[in-house]
Order: sequence, then structure tokens, then C-alpha cells
Amino acid sequence: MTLPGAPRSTEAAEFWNALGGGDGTLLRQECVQCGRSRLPRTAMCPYCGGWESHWRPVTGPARLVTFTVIRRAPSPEWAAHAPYGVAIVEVAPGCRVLVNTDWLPEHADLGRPVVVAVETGDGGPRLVASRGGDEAVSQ
Amino acid sequence: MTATQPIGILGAARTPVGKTPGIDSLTLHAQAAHAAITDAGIDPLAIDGIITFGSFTRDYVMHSAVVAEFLGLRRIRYADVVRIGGASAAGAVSRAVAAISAGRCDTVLIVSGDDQLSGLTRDLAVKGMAENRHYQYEAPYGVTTPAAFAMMARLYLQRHHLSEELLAHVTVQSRRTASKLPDAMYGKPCTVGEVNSSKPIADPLRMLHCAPIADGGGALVAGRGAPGEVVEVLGSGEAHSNAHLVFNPFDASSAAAASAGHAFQQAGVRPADLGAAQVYDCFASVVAQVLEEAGIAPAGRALYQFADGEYDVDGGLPVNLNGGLLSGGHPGMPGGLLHVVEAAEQVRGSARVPVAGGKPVFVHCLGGIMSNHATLILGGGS
Repeated sequence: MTLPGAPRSTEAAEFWNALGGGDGTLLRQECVQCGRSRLPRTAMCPYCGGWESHWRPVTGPARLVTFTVIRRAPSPEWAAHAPYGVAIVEVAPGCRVLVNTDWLPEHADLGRPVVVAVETGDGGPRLVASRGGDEAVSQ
Repeated sequence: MTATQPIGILGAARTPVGKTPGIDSLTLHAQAAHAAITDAGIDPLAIDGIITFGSFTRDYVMHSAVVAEFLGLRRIRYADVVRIGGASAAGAVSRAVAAISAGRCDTVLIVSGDDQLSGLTRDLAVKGMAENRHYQYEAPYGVTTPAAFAMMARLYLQRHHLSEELLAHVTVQSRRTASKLPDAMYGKPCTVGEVNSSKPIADPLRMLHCAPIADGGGALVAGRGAPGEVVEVLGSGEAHSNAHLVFNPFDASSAAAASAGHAFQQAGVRPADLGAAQVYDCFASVVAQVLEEAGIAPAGRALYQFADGEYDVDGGLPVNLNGGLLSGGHPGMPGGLLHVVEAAEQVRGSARVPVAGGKPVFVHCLGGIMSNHATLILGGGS
């Protein structure tokens, strides 16, 4: 069953358009005035009040901030996938996204490095985190 | 009534909370309003201000005007719909006090009622749940409201190196407290083992960590009254850091702490001075988190204190004397009002299980995913 993708709204258009047209690189919003980064997109910089920003690629490691494993799904399409993992991942300082995980996280996974990929399926773009580091080691 | 008299809560009431099919949202508003006006002993036609919170089952853009219209109130000078989620009730009280203080009106009815359990169609239930999740950044990932609170609970457990089994003590205390009431929706005591073996919802939260959906309503009348006859708002606070989990700044100092801190400061009251506390408890984890953020419990200790009976009726600081939402039932928008109503009854000594003994009572309401907070410290009623 196809899972829903994110709707392409005006408020997040730059975020998703850049992902869809590029190589799947995650982007962060960088303030022109103070240089600090943020995610999700906000109209104004919450740190300095600046209204101008650029989109920059995210580089460096992402970190799993918190997670849950959902046992009771909100809809039949998700029930077919349950249990499934959901997490908040910090991809750069001040930049966080909500993702699905490709494994069922446990308490010991808090703070661990993860790799966030942009998947584009029938339902639209989605963000998925995996334990890239571990797999690289085990292979 | 004179302009020099203190402003506060003159009347407070709740409808039965549980399963009451066939009573719709507006009727629950009317039942709660009637009971609170009767409790206040005022002429209903004296009401010239109204604050409502909207409804999940039957909402209106001009919700407060529609409720006033249905009640038959035609002399309204101040109408407001407070929509800050679960924080609305405490937020409404501080707005009512401000409106009266500013001379905008004299007597404010704060009322909410919803047939959340009996009247919610599947479509409306999905819509209501979706409002807590960002449609762009959260909903496409299958996140539920319990899942978002579960992620906050996970962070809390990790920060203080607590086992998730400890969360059960909040529900056990809630059921034990509710068992002393005649009409609690879930008034049978339960064990830690029962909570920890209840159906898993979103790790670490299980079914018995979640407040059950209910029908019900609550109402308050705010105005000026003679000292000793009015439940005074000694202090209030409010803080909003975000609305959706994905926007949470995860700052070291939370909005809950800011809201509670302002209320304590304004009241000139310290946690040790309190006689009781009412803490919004949509999920068990939230109560422990708020008690710590507010400085009432030492960081990382609240769950152990629940286990030790500190928050029981005969403990150091009784918490959620109405069984809270966890055992009393959660009717949605009126949920916070049920906490404020209980706190007002505790202050004036008319509660079913009175424990405050004339001391100030702390009320903390929250909405969003622990992102929107409003706190009251009530006192001076007896």
C-alpha cells in the first residue's frame, strides 16, 4: 500500500522543490543576517528577526533526538505497516525534521548517528532515517 | 459589587463526565453554564462577557456568540474564543480577569462542553487528531497525538535515566484518588502491573497512560466579589514556544517552566506553600514533567514521588483531586476547565475531597505537544 507523501504547500515549497529537483540532498534554511540555520522553514529567523534566508545543503552527521514505535496506527494504510518507527532527527544545529525510521528504534538508539534520505514514491517525497553507520561497519 | 472588590471566580461547576449519548455540545455548554451561574448565585442576565473554546463535534467560527445566543444572553460586551488547545481554560481565566480589570465588562461566563465520546463521527475524530500534527511535516509520517507525547516522554525518561515502567505510578495514583469519588469515569484502583501490561500504543505509552475520551462540560463565572467569597487569581502565567512537535526548540528551559514561573512570581507563592495541585493530564508522563518543570518536584524525582504517595490525598501535595483526565475522563476542549473547577472548589473548601486547607492551589493547563501552557495560582477563598 502506498504511504502518503508530504503535500507541496506554498509554505514549504522551497524545501520540497529543491529536494525534488535535485539529488535528494536535504536542505536547511540559513539566515542571511545572522547566519544561523533552522528547520522546519519559518518566515522569520527566530534568533535575530531577519526575513531573508538561503537554502543550503545539509552536511555532516544527523543525530536521533527522540523516537517512538507506533503500535496503534491512525489509519488502515498505516495499520498495514504497524509497528513502525517515527523519530525527530537533528540534521544540523537548530535543524530538525520528523522522519520514519527503517528499523524499530530502542532506548539505546537515542543520540545515535543516522542517515536521512529523501525517498520519492507515488505518494510524494518522504524523509526516512536509517542506521547508515552500523550497516557500513557490519558490511 | 464595587470596583475595589477583588476579581476572581464566583461560580464553578461541571456536568457529569463520562458517556452521555444524546446530549450535544451546545446542550452541554448550557448545562455547565446553568450549574456555574446557580453556584455563583448571580442573576444570569448580569453576564456581559463570554469566553468559549470551540468544539470538536459542532464548531462555529463565531463560537462564543453562538453559545451566548443559545443561552439567551443578549447583553454581551466582551466575546472571545480562546483557542490555545488544552491551555485554553487557564488562559481564559486570566483573560477574563484582565477584561474585567480593564472595565470591558463586569461578569464573564467561561464555558465549554463537548460530546467527544458520543458525538464524534470518524471524520471529525480524524480531523481533531490531525490538528495536533503538522499536515506538511508530521502527518505524512503516520504520527498520532499519543506518538508525539510519547516522543516527549522518551526524552524525559532519557534525560533523567528513568525506566519507562515508572510512568505507571501516575496512573495508579490517579485511579486511587478517583476511587474516593462517587462518579469518576474510571474509579477502580489499578496496579502498576496492570498499567505496564496494558495495550501498547506508542512506546513508551500504553493504553492506561492515556486519558480516555469522554463527554462532558465545565463552566466558571468570573467577576468581582467580597473578599472571602471570591476565589482570587493570585497569579497567572502563559507561555507558547511552538504548536507542533517538529517545531519544538528543545530549549533547556521549557515553556511550561516559564508559564508556571510567572504565575508563582506574580502570586508571591512558592511551591512549598501550595495546598493542592491540578495538572492537565492528557497522558501520564505529562504530569511528572510539569511538576518538575514548575519546580514543584525535584528534577527527575516526580515519578518516584508518585510511587511514594507524595501526591496522594493524604500526601505532601495532593494532585488531581477530581481524578484528573486520566481517571475522570477527557472531554476534549472542556478538559482544562475540569481542572480549574476542581481547584476553585478546593480553594473554597467545597470540594468532594477537600485537602487544600486554605492554602493556594496550583492549576496548570497545556496544549499542543507540551508547547502551549497556562498556569493559575488560586487562593483567598475561605
